[in-house]
Amino acid sequence: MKQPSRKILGFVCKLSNLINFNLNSKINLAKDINVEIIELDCLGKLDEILILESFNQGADAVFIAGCPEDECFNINGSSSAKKAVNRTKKLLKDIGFEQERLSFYSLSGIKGESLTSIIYKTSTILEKLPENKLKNLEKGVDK
Amino acid sequence: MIVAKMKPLDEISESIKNAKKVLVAGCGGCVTVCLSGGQKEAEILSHSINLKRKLENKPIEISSVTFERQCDKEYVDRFKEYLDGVDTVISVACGVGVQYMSEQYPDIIFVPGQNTTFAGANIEHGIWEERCMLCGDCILAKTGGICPIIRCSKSILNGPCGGSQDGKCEINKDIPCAWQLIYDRLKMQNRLELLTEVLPPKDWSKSRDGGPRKYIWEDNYNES
Amino acid sequence: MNLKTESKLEKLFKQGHFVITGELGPPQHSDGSDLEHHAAELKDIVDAINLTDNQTAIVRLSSIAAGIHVLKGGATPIIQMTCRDRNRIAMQSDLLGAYSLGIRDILCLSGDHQSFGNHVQSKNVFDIDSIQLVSMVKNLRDEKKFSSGAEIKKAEPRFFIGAVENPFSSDLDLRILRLEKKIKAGADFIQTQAIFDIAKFKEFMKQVVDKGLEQKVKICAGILPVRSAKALNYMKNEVAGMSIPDQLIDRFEKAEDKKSEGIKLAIEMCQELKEIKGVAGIHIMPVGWEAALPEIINGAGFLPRPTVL
Repeated sequence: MKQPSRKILGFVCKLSNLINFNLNSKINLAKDINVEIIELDCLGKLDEILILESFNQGADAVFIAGCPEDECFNINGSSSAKKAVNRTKKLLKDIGFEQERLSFYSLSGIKGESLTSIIYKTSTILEKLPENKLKNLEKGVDK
Repeated sequence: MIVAKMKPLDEISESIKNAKKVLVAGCGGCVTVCLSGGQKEAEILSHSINLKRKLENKPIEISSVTFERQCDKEYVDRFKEYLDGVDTVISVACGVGVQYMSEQYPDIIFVPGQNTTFAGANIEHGIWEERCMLCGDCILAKTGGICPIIRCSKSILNGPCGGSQDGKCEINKDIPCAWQLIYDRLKMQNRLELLTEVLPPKDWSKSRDGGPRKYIWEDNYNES
Repeated sequence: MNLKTESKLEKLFKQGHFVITGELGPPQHSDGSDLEHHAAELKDIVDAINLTDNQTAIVRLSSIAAGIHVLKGGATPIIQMTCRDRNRIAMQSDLLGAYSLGIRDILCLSGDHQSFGNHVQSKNVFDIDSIQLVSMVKNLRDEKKFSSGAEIKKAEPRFFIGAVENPFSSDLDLRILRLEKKIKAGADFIQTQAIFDIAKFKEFMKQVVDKGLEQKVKICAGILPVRSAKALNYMKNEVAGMSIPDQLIDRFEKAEDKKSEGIKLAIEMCQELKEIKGVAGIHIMPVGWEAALPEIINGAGFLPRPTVL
């Protein structure tokens, strides 16, 4: 089987309706796109380090998705995550990554297709960007 | 507390360009409170530099560790076990911490990760303002608890100047005129007579103008 | 006459004359010949001429040196000294130097902050403030002592001391308090910031006279001749310490010949200000329009200037 060459990592809030979505059955993914979804108990757990480490581990794009800020079950989780994403976007620029690789999506919990559109949007962005160089490097000493 | 702001990543990177093994030293004191150089910020810096160097094809060995303060020997000593093989430390403490650490470990190159800016207070969440110039000769009793040396852009002791307009400083409408503040406060406290005294020129020799300063606690109890 | 100094201004005030002073901004280069030239033209039009001290924190030929050029031109200089660029050592040294070269009048001021000028990265000094400077100059003259307390063994500088007041800050009480402090510190004369709002100035002068302050210090009302609505708008928005009524801006926008409107307005203001109780003179600051001075002063009926007895 051909090795996937684009990796999309998604952090999704456990409490949002996106989790029930079954990736393989609903989206026609191009063969060279590999999507991994990580559930978080609360998006508020998200910080710069988690996102940076995702890129360090070879993700080509990272998206964070959760409920709209005023619908957040944990009240501040969604808004906190959005702020962390904005801060990290600035860091990405200073580090040398394209800011478009990181996105925050605030979704209505109703339609399952939203996840599809996120993935399609992300892969469209990735078509215009080079592969994450770090994917193929030896893992460094990270503490 | 001392307030500091993280230097641009480019500048920090440039200052460690020849380093092979780096430690980012965080500080649990003032810089943690002003959200610029605490454990989290030190880790973020460490991760950022790691990624940046990898992308530049010049990988570097970098990690971070944080202790309570970098201005007291007992905490500075705790960094020792993390310095094995380290050639450069980026200290994200204030300028005091960077220097003091550097004195304890003179063989290692120390670079500052922050620009230490001022002594100030947290006036609302996420906002700090300068309040003290550390002049060594506090006159707050004469000015209703508001310091004109630091809050007046011209350090006027008999203010305000002619540029004070609508209670704002001439250099920036976001800066209140310190003398307007002093006047309003003293008026409210019925103590305007404090302002009729012509305050004499300041003794700047007690400030940094007199040279680097030292405080010896025992001097309080010795015959001078 | 019981005079404190050799100053011509002091004599004129003492003799009861209504004093008229002008102002020249020194150039941003080292050729002082224009200053000498203007001074020669103005010597019989004004009683004395202010030389600004790196105004707006833009580097210019120094006030004291400019004062010497004015002396060469035959007129009387009033040097200005701000607190922004010099510490007390340099100030006293400059005062000794200025006096030794014939300068007799000084205006003490805080100075525009350096962020306004063309050297924003410089360190500012502000070792002492303008009121302490007034005190210091007074002590050099009357106590014959330097700021440190050391005695001046001979030839102490005996300046006639001026200070500035801005009558247009929103808090009138604070302005009067500061004026009182300046008088207490030793100010002999005051020049006000440019007046455009005569009504507001009258309020200020009323308070001054109520407290009898005009008996203790000679107050000269400042005016700044303008020749466009643009200039007025600029000052309204960009310059610290100005209060400009909208109807003035209107007047200029409607005027056909802006220059003569400007002269007309300046003359009107001179005449109106002269009538206000407590005003002992007028200080005209023709920023970039020195040529207007003779016409204004003549039109306002202030010529010929008195000769000193």
